[in-house]
Amino acid sequence: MAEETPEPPETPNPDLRDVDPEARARALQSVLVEEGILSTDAVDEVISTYESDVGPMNGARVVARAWTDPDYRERLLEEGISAVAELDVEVNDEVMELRVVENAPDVHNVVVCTLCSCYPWAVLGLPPTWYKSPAYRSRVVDEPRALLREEFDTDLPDSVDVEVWDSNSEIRYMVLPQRPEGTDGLSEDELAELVTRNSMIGVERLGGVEA
Amino acid sequence: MDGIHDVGGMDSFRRLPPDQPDDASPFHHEWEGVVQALYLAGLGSGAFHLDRFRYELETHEPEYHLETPYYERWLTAVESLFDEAGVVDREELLERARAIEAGEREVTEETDPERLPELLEGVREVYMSEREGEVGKPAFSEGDRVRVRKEHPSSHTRCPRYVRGCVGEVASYRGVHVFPDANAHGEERAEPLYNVRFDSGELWGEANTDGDGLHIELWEPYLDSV
Repeated sequence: MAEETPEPPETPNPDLRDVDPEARARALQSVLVEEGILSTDAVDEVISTYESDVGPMNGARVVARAWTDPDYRERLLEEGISAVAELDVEVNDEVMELRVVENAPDVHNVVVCTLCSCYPWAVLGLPPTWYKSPAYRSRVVDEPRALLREEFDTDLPDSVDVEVWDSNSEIRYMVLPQRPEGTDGLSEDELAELVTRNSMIGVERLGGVEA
Repeated sequence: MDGIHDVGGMDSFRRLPPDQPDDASPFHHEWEGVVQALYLAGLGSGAFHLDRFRYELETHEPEYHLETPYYERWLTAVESLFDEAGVVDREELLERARAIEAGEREVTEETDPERLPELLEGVREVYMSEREGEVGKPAFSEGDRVRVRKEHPSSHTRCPRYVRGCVGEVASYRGVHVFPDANAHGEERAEPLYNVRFDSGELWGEANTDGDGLHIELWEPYLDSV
């Protein structure tokens, strides 16, 4: 049974597309400010929040805590965002459901959004350009090992299973990397410095692999 | 819809672009941050919601999609949706943008510290897709084998082409979530959502993949039991 297809939206006026995007953004901003929908300080605050408060450093603190506190690790894997909120980090309001997937000596996880650019903003901030690119989104689902090796120097042996997570719903994914060996004496802050953004997306790997 | 946005498994896009922006700033230009704020204003004020926004981006012509920078595409979608919502007039917006570009008009400034918290509250609601207490029992449970229906709707869907027709295993039940295919077209209803794992070989053929498994969230209407 064919369902009724809704009318597609009108083709946008190409003229607006010909104008410099900065001027277009400022024009729309002006109208919304005049309509009382937006304010100048709200725009400034959004920009400064993404520039200084939310970013991979929040995810790194979450990972470091999970490495040093087994109970916290359990809660993080079970409840995601509420475990993140336990730490005094700036949690971005947009992301409500976070799932953390854990690497192991024989498992490596990697995250993508093939349909758009869904990304765990709350813990990692806004995505890098490559994460949003068709080159990454098209290839990581069928050739994850080759992509990780060629683009990120991450060479995974056959003994490690590669599991890809395509985030197409409002559930967001973050990888919990393994704690690197030889880090026993480090403090939580020192550990957090070892955690890279890319290791939480899953294009890099921390810690060892099964022989 | 089977659009250029649905790229999973496509070939020949070649190398990844450089790793930018970096930790110092997530934006290449300040206006990209403005677009981020305009997007949040649209969601937070109820002018449009997430599924409608995604559908709008998907309706851009493939050539425009591939050749236009990310935030510029977002801006094009946000303009159209504010126009559709009756908040702005496209002709007026064009006139104003041209005047700002020519340096003949100033950007309107006004401070209101209440604005952002109110908008973010609205944004939070938009992203909260789980609906408790709706719909009866889920049809599938963990461990069930399911086949993705081979449907090619010309309207919005979050079921990518590469899983259609393939058999996977329900890894987790995620609760009842707003169904994007209906929501993008003005009907908010919720359906059971599952995380389904596919063997990579099932999706691509053993000879064409070097991965082991792929996990994706699929709503119940996408699935048949095997």
